[in-house]
Amino acid sequence: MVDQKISKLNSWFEEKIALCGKHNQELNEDGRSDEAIFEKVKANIYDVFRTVLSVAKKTGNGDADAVKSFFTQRAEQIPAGWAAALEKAKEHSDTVRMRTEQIKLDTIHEIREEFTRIWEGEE
Amino acid sequence: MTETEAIRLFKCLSDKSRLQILKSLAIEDMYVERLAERLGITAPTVSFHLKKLADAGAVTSYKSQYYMMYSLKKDIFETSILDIIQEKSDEADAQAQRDAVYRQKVIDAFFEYGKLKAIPAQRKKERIILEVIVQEFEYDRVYSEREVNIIIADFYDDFCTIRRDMIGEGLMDRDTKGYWRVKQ
Repeated sequence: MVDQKISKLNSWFEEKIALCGKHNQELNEDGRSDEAIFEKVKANIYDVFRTVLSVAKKTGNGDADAVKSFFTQRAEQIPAGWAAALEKAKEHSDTVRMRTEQIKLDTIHEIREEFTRIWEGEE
Repeated sequence: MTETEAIRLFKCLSDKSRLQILKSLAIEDMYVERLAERLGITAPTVSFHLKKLADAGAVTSYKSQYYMMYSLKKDIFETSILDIIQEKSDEADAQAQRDAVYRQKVIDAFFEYGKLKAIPAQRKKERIILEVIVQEFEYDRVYSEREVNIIIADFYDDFCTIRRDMIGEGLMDRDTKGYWRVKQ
């Protein structure tokens, strides 16, 4: 059961990373290089949490609660710095940095929601 | 327009979304949400591009009622490309530009939002950051040590090291009455 959920999440991460790669290529071809970089930023976040999931699987050793606890803990810890960076950028009206930090936070929000949906079997 | 400014502008323009924004602003001044709706991209992305365009000197903004309106800086676009490439760029200018780029790189690396992150280990780099800090001091004015410390503390907590190094670098001088900025 745990392996099935992890496999589902891995497939979702792979789909998302592939989609970002496709968008990145399309945007680059369309001469929108900065927006193409935003897609790379998103893909990097999916990739980071795909790695977190594989570590959670190893650490949890088949225990669903242990995997969930490890993953959700990291999904709170890792973005804490991004939220702080966003606030700092807002304080200084640093629009360019604000955009990047917001994309990272939106992506982790989406990852958390998908994790809960698959883990709690809400589909 | 200097070479550096021209390069920054051209780099900024080599993006379809930014060109689309400029095309829209060539018709009329617009606010972020209106541009987002017109171009089919999100408002935060439009803000991102507008910031880059403003930094390159291509657009300007003003407040109108509840909106921040953006407009094209037409004078920039009236410069012909021929004028830009014919601009003389002798070695002294080029060297000065390289120095300015290096200086900016050091400043960007060691300052974040106006605060010094760390004192550079390299003397050349430290000199640059000290030159930035010393600009907070007026010429022809004698400061007490407390005043000097307060001004430096706005940049960095270890104000004693900075104060001492500014003296060592000849940017400030002192006697029994206090400290003052040295004219370079």
